[in-house]
Amino acid sequence: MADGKTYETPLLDELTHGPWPSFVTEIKKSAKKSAMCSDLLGQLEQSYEEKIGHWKHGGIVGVLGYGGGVIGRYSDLAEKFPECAHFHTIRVNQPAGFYYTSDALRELCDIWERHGSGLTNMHGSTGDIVFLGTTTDELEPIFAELTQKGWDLGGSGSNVRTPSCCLGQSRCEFANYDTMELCHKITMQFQDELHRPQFPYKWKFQFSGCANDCVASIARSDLSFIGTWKDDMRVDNDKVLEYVDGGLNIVNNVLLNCPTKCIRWDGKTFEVDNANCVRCMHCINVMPKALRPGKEGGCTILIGAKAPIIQGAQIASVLIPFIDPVADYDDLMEIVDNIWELWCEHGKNRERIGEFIQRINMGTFLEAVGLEPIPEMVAHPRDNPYIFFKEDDEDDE
Amino acid sequence: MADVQKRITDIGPPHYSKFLPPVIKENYGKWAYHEILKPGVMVHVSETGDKIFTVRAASPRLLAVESIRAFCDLADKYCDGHLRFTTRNNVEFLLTDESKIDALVKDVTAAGYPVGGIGNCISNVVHTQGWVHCHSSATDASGVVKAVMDELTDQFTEMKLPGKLRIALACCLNMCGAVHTSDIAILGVHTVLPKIFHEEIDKICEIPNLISSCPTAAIRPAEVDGYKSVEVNGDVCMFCANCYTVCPAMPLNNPDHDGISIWVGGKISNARCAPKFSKLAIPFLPNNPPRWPEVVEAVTNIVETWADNARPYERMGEWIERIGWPQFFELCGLEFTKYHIDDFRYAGLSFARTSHLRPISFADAAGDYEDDDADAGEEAEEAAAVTVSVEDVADFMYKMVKDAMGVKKFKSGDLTKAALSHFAEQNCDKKTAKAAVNALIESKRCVYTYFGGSFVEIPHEEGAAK
Repeated sequence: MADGKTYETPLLDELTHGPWPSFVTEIKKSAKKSAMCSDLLGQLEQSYEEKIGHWKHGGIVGVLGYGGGVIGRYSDLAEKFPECAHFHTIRVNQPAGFYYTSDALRELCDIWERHGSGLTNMHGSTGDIVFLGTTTDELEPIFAELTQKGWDLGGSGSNVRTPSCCLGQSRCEFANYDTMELCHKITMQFQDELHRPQFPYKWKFQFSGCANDCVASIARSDLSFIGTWKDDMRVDNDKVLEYVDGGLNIVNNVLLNCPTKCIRWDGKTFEVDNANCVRCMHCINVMPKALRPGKEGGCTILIGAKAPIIQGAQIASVLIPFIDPVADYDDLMEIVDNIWELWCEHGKNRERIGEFIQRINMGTFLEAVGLEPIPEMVAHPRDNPYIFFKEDDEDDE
Repeated sequence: MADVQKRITDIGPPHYSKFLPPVIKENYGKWAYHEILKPGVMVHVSETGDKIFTVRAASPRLLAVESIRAFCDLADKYCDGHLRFTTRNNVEFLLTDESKIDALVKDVTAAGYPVGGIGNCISNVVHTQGWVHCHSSATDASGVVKAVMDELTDQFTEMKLPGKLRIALACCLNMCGAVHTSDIAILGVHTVLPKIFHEEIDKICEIPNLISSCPTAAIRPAEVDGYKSVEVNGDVCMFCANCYTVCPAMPLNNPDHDGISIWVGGKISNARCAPKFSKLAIPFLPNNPPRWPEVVEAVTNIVETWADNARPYERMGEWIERIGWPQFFELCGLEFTKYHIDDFRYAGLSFARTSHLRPISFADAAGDYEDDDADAGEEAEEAAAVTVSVEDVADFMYKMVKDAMGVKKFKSGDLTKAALSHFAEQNCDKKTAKAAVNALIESKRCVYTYFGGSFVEIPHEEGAAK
């Protein structure tokens, strides 16, 4: 198989040195078996010489019946590097929590080595297993082998993107709800929306078990689920004293960092004003043996995060302060349906939900999806006196 | 057709329970606490007393299947075949036998994947594809990360930093890696207008869709050399590459003018303060492969300055807010330019809207201003002599106002501009024009009026008085 050309790559070779793992070394490993990777090295060396990329984007390739999961990519130096003339990406939906057995991973590796470059990302930014580099002819055979082994493609384009979660209750004492189960359930529920683009633009669900937000849901998901709790923080005062005896400067490192100054400490007793605790996790992060979230867990749902394209970046904002995603699952799905119905009807091409809400305004959005405006949704009420009073509303009063 | 019927679709990912180690299945939802045992190694302890040990190592994100198989072999040797990955591209080996940890760490390290990334340190760098796979990249991704982390590997394998530090890289403003909320974001930027392939554009792209893709409405339809095409208003283009995303006939990639910007102080976690966007520290550094020395130096400098000055648990953004941005720029030795001041939507929200300033800000700024003024005075002395009288200019202005009465109202500035232009040969200056306006008003030939704006008009009885 490794009958591909080899190229001199002095610039890339420089990056095989040094203590940090090298992507060049990885490509070279694959080039031993894949002529596509040999040509990739040649093309990449040219990019390093010229300081410019040499890829063209494709938009049509995919597997039969799906509109997502494959990203078309073509070289603009196809004559010089014919083996990587096609270099499509396949997104494979990862298992929730990124857990694998070695057998399962080897199975994926074997499929990918038979039909593609052998290069992967573990994982892509949204969460998928990313297979980097194959040809149009190989797409159907890869898909057939993947599905026979129980794997399916992830999302791309204007559809539900592959939902992603932190590992939650599987290995973390901070998790306030079962992130992996909710992520898997929602992924299975929206298979059609995930594989067949039918939205104005992409839609991301991401699930974090606590406010530390290890999947960055508040920065990048259209609907972000961040774990929190209703009842009181669990405090083991003896363990607090152990931390202090062990040298923890509890005043500087815990009390002064509390955003609402809701902790009282007299040198012996650690007391939390639970009514004013905003569940930020800082004190629990510092003293995980002594402090734990309460037992009545659930999540806060926030809406509208996105990267800059098109109208500017947004961090998600509160939509629902608390929901038990298991007990209230049907209500949750109804809210999602209502939002999608409105957005699909009125959203513009490439308009994320966060931008859509900015355009039609939050008040109109809430009314249309049947949610009440509440002070939890804002940092502060408006300071702008241009109010669009509606005559009808005043008549109702 | 038979093939089509046999197709398996919409099965979704395998259920995660297939891959969980037994100790996790048995203790799901029962974990009580965790401890960091040493760099890259932690233990989670269950309410049942069961323990699971995690060894975390950095992957280069771009992984050959050969390397994944090597991870699998290690998982078989030490972890009964169980492993996982993190959201930041680390690989994690999950063990129940504490005695195997040291041997595992040794093997993973020997394979070239440093162990670390837990606690107060730099975790792995989240990044995009760059020149390895992307069409719109303004820089490479993996290469820059490799160069930066070669310099900072010790900060991954040790826990000597005041708090967590998250570095991320996106090779263009699309930000596939959502880097905009990182302690340090390395962001590829384009800085020159897109090329336009007029001959092809109408065949490849849907022009109305292209026009609506521009956030600043800089793209207008135009006929160029007989082709149906578009033109770009360079004054409002901010090089976001939205147009290129929807239309391949408008590439922005440019080897001489693409480069890297550095952003700081973002954070995702809600711990202590609310999440923050990263803010601009350095607007442009050149692409200088294979080692990007300017970028490596800039990032290393910011990391070290933060590490030397921040308090325990203080993330980059929290430290900067405590000491103030002026002090941040001073301590890091960075230049503050007009590019650091936002000029897009809601720019004013990022201005300093308070008098809260530290002594570092009370330097001799007024002195600089006076110097500029002195320069302006010298230039004025060199100006040519005015050879038109104030009266002549006033007469010209009066005629202008009178002729336009009832049709158009003029502001004082309109009259001045017209006079400067009309008497250009006589070197009429602003001072003369101003004196002429004053003469018109003081002689009562004209009055100032106010109708949603101040104008110079011929005196007349106003409508409202009738």
